[in-house]
Order: sequence, then structure tokens, then C-alpha cells
Amino acid sequence: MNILVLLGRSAREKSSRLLYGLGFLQNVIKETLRFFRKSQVGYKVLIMQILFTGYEALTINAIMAVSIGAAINVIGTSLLPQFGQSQLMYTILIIVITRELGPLLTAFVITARSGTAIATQLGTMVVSHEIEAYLSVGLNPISYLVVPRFIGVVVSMLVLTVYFNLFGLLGSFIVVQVFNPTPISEYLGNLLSQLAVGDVLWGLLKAFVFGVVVSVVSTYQGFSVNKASTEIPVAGIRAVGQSFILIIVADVIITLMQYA
Amino acid sequence: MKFKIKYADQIVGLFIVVAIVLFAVIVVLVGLNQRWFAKDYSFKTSFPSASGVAPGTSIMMKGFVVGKIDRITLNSENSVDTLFHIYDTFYDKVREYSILELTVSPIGLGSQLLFHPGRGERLLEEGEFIPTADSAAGKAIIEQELVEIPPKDDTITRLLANVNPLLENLNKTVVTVNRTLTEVNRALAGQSTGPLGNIVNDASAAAAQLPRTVNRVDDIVADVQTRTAGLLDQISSLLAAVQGMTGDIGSITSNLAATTEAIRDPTGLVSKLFDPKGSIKTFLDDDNVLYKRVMSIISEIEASVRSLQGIVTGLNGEMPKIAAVLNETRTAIQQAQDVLEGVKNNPLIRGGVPERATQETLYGSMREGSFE
Amino acid sequence: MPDTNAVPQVAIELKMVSADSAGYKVFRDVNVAFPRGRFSVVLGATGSGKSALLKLAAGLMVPSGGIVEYLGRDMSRFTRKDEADFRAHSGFVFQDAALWADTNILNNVAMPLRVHRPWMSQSEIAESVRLALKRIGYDEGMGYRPSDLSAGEQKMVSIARAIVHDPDLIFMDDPGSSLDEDGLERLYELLGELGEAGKTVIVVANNSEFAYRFADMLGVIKNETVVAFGGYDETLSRASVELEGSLARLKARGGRSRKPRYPDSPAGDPGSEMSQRGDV
Repeated sequence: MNILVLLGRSAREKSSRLLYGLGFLQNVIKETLRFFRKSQVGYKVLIMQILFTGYEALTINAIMAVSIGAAINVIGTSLLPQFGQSQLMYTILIIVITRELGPLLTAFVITARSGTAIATQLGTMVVSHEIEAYLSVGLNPISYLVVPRFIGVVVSMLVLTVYFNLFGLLGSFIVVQVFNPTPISEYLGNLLSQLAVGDVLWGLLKAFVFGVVVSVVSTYQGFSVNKASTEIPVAGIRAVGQSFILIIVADVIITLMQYA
Repeated sequence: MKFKIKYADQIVGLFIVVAIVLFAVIVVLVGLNQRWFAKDYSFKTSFPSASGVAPGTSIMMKGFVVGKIDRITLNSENSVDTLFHIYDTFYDKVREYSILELTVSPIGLGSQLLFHPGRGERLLEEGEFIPTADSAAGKAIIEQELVEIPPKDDTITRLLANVNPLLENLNKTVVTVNRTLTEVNRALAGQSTGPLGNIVNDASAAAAQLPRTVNRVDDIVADVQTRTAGLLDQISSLLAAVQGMTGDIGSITSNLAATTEAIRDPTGLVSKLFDPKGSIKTFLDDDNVLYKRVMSIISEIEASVRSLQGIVTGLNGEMPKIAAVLNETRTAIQQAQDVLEGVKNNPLIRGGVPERATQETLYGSMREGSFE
Repeated sequence: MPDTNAVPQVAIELKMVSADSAGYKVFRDVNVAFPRGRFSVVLGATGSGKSALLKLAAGLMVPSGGIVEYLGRDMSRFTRKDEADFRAHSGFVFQDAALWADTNILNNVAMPLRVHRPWMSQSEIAESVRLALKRIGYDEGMGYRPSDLSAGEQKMVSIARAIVHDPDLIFMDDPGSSLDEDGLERLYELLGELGEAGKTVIVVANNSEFAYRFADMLGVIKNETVVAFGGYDETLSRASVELEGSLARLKARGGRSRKPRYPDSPAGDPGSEMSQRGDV
């Protein structure tokens, strides 16, 4: 009986939190559209967000992309000929880099770097009443704080995914030269004939959705801090955990859509 | 850090613009590679069946991809209207009397859609109809040699293309003989109203066609033999490697021999029926003309089958692919045996075809070793 | 409260307002009307909910019951334009400065101008910021980050931010906290000027000095509600029951020597109150 009551209460709280989260998302989207209509004071915040989330993550992103691309190249050129399917190497490279790991790993990097940063930063601002201060001067925290981060993270996700593709598909070629020299024209020709623009677009769709997930979850968790500074790291942890879960769920859904 | 903050706008701008430019370059490269910007020339054709001609199927000519299938629709006459395009670089090949040919690999390696350029002067306009090789129009074009059809590079396909109609003819004739015998049977039982002589005339007319067919068989078999001989010369080195298969080959050979024996058996089959001392002597007192004719036919069939046997033995040693051909041949022989079985079941006839020994496919036994 | 009714216009009015914070009640059934152009001071002990009251009045906190009106209009029904208009004409000083840590003093103070007067040039903005800081007595550089400053300096910057766009309505949450004596003097000077200029000022404090020096209206928070709100003398005289702490001290200090600030006010204005104060 008691457990039933507890379950019911937890379900009610969870659903009301979900509704609140959806309302938050809706608000963010509304404010984002407004942001594009008239440029605001948030422009500077947006630039700094892209600088931090996108540009500064480029190095780690590139390293991951080149390593994974090189690994697939090495495995592909040594394993696949045993089945007489050497051509599959390019298909695998494209599927893994462009459609799956590119957006996914980029999203994980951004969650780890910027998701935590955004959640703790906003949490700190709540605790030190900076959010209220924005309200008091007439700046909507959603449009001034959330929207630039939202756009910044989404744009960074998209741009970083493009770079991931480039580094993963082309950068790995350079690494492969060390182990197994291949003429660049052959490599490029095979790659380009296998690469469908649809692959790239699906990858970018994933990047977009992951960007939305990371930014909305992180800002939401940042704002969920109430008063105490001890809540801030908790918010950061929750932002990362929820982002990871939602990213994987979204990834599965999009991949299913792709093959449906 | 100071630098980054000061030039944040520029850095971020560069960061985004470079990504967009590179993305655009990749899209353009992919597009060039996948011929988005090249003009294609569309044409129409019609296939009896859509199998092997899915949209996107490449159209090949001498090993080059010259175009692709765009769209297929089943029309009201149950043939498949097909839209396809030829790349601009190959458009000058699309002349009058060009045809398309769908070749299906006999051993399950998929199908190939071939384009054969016509010998006409005129370039075909976009949207014109290009017949397929197996359509009436296509056959006419091929017979008049208005189209360049290169010799098939696939000997097996070629060989089978010859063997299949041969066996079909053989089947048809034997069925006719069988039908005639049934009529004779009915006449003997007093069920037929017509004069028996007519029926027997029919039978002999049908049987008379058989030697012609078998002559063709001889031609084809000779052709096949020369081809196979060439092939065998080329790959004689392979023969040594497949010596291990002789057991299987032996079993097939004995199988064939048994079949042949059954056909030759003087106590079996038709001989009983047409023997001058047989039960229908009084009705068929024609100095054994029909009997001799049928006997000669049978001996010719026997000779053909022996030729086939020889070929089959040679092919069997060649390579696993040939084993598949052998399977096809075996199926044909089994069909022939079925016909003979039908003849045997006729109550007028005693004796018959010996029991068939089943034969493991070489293909399967080959694989077991390497995939265990 | 006859006096409040007699005042010409009400700037902010709380009607039957209740407020929750983290699940427990902060206020219930608060009825207060802050008159326009007057200096209101609400006193209360630490933790009595003074800050909550001010945030409710300034629309920074959403009431769980009742309505808050600005110039007779329900704030919960504000359109985006109404909201912008309200913010353009109001300033808020937080108890703990609440400066934006990620940017320098200039940008902190300039923010209201950038939001509400986007047409101003950078140099005009910098000049306005410099003047506002000077008024409160801040004389450090404008390039510092808030974390570089002492608590008192941060408070000064926070006050400058609330007045830089010359609002008509100023909310101040304990403005004297963490200021040194010189700072307090400058603050009193500034508050005097604001009062003279006819601004509506609402101060909540636990320091009776603000009430004694400036209050036209005086209120007291106790037991989760505003137990008394009215003209300075009226509240003091009425409040005998709740007489304790700050009020007792104010009463003990006796009459104030202030000139009537509203000579041309209609009947029942605080001017007449002012003359009564001497009698207390």
C-alpha cells in the first residue's frame, strides 16, 4: 500500500517534471525563433559559446576522428580482403564515421565539455541571483542565457560533425600512408563513389538533434538549481547523465528511421 | 586566452565558414563523382519480368557502366515498362538497332544487363524504344546482324544457352511419342474409333521429327565440345588439383551409364511393344518399319547422351563452376528419365528405367571443407 | 488604511498575495499598496521574508496566490512589451549585489542602457555609467571583474546598475549592507536625491535608519505577513501591539526634522502627515 502511494507520487512528480521540461523546450524554441528575427544583446554570448563549445573542442574532435578513421582503415585493409570484400572498407568507413560515431562522439565530447560547463555556470548564476538580476534589467533568461547557448551548441555540433567527417575520412588516409600506402586518387575515388549525400545529411540530422538535447538538458539542469551551491555539481552530473541517455535514445530512433 | 577573446568573432567566423566551404567542396566532389551534373539520355524498353532489372541496376557495355535503370512499371499487358538512361559520354553508341540483353548467371552470381550498340547510322532520339534481345523485335535485329553482340565471355552461359533448348526439344519429342503410344494403347483396348493406321501415321510423323532434333543436338554438342576442349586446354593445370573429385565423378558417370543402359536395354521399353512377335503384331504388320525407326531414334538418343556424358565428365574435372553446369545437365537428364518413367508406366510396356541414385552436389561438399 | 487610499496613485499593489518557497509558505494574504512617488520602507527581522516581498513586488517572484499590480494592471498578464516597459522604468538592488561575474563593471552597469536604450553609442553609455558610479561614490576602474572588488564596492556597483537608466521605480533590498560609513553617507545622499526627484522608492531593510531618514510610508513584516503598512507616523502609532525591535527604537528616537516634500499634494497627502510627526 505504502509502496503504491510512493510509486504513484514518484510517477506524478516525474510526469510533471517531464511536462515542465517540454514546456521549457517549447519556450526555448519560441525564443530561438525570436532571436533570429532581431539580433540581441545575446550575440556576444553566442559567439563566446561557439568559441568555447565548437572551436576549442576541435582539437580533441580531430584527434578522435583521425584515430577512428585510421583504425577502420587498418582493420579494413587487413581483414576484409580475407572475405574478398575489400571494397566494403569504404562503406564501413562512411557508415561508422559519417552516420554513427561522428555525431555520437562529437555529442559526447560536447556533453562532457560544454554540458557540464553550461549546467554549472547557470547553476552558479542562479545561486548568486544573477538570473534574477537579468530579469530585473528586462532580459529574459531564456532568450539571453539559454538561446545563445542553445544555438551555440547546435551550431558547434553541426560544424564539429562536418570536421569529424573530414578528419575521419581524409585525415585517416594520411595515417594509413604510414602502414599501407594507397594512391590518393584511388582512395578518394572509392570514397566519393560510396559516399551518398544522404549519409552526410543523416549524420547532420543526428548532430542537430544531439545538439538540441545537450543544450536543452544542460540549461534545464542549470536552472533546476535552487539555492545552495552544493546543488551545482549535482546539476552538472545530472546534465551529463541525462544527456548521454537521451543522445543514445535519439541515436537509436534516428537510425531506425533511417532503415525503416 | 586574451587573443581568443579579442578575436572571438573572427575565430568563430573562420571556424564556421571553413566547415561550410569544405562541406560544399565535398558535396560538389561527390556530385561530380556520381554524375549529378552530367546530362543523361532517357530511353524506354520493356521486359517480360522485373526480376534482375530493379531501379538503379547498371547497364553495362564491354565492362563499362553506360547507364542505369530509372523506373519500372507493370503495364496492363503484364510486361514491365522500363525507363532507363544512358550517360552522355556513351550517347554516341545509342544508334538504331541497339538492343538490351538481360543475362542471368546460371550459378547464382546475379544478373547483368547488357547494352549492345546497333549498327545503324542514326543516333536514337531521347525517349525512343530500345527492344530487348528476347523480344520479337530484338530477335529480328539479332538475326539480321544489325547489332554488335560480342562473343560471350562467359563460356558456361553460352554452353547452357545451347543445351537448354536442346533438352527442351528432346523432351517435347519424347512426350509426343508417349502421347502416340497412349493412343495406340487406347486403340488396342478398342476405345478408339478412328482407323489405327492414322494413329500410327501420326506417331511415325512425330517420331520422324526426332532425328532432326537429334541432328541439331549433334551440332550443338559438337560446338560445345570444341568450346569445352578450348576451355579444358586453358585450364588443364586445374585438372590435377581436382583429381580428388574423381569419386564423385565416377558416381555420376556410373549413374549416367546406368541410364544409358536402360535406354539401350532390348528387353525394356518400346521394343516389347513393337516386336513383330509381340501382341500387336496383327495390327502392325509393316515389316517392322516403325519398330526400326523408333529403335534408330533411341540409338541416336543414346549416342547423344553418350556425348553429353563425355562432355560432362570433362567439365566435371574443370572447376566448381562446371559442377554447377553438371547439375543443370543432370537435372535435364533426370527430366528425360522422368519421361521414360512415364513410358514405363504404360501398362503395355514391361521392364523400365532403373532406380535413380541421388548424387551429392560437388558444390556443397567443396564448401564444407573451408567453412567448417 | 485611509492614508494609503488618499495617496494620488498607487505604483505597486499586492492583493491577497501568498508565496511559496521550496515547499513552505513564506507569505499569506499580504495586502500592500506602495504609493507612487513616495519613499516606502518595510522593516522586518532577518529571515522574515523581506526579500521575498520585494521580489514579489518587482515581479521577480511568481506569487502562489493573489495578484500583483503595477499602475493598476495585473503583472501576471503583462505582454512582452508591458514587461519591457516596466523594466525600463524600474531598477532593483539585490541584497548580495548579484553582479554578473563573467563581465566587467562597465558592462554590468551598462546592461540596462544596452537593453532599454539600444540607440545609445558606446561612448554615451560609458559616460552614463561613469556618472552613475560617481553618484554612489565608486571610484575604482570600470575594467575590473566583480570578483576583483570588495563586497561593499560590489554593492555600490549594484546600486549604480539600478539607477543608471534613471528609473521612476527603484526597489532596494537592504541597500546599506556591507557598505562602510563613507559608503552609507553617499547612499543616504543618493536616496535623498531620489526622494527629492519624486521617484517611487521601495526599500526593505532590517535597519531602522532608512525608515527614520526617508520613509514616507512604513511597513512591518511579521508572522508571514505585513502586519502594518501606512504613513510613517500612523504605523508607529498604530503599531503599539507589535511594538518591538526596530519600531520601538524608531519610537524612542522621536520626531524627525524633515521638510514637507509634497507641498502641492491634494488633501490627505503625506504633507499633512509630516506635520503630525512632530507630535509623536
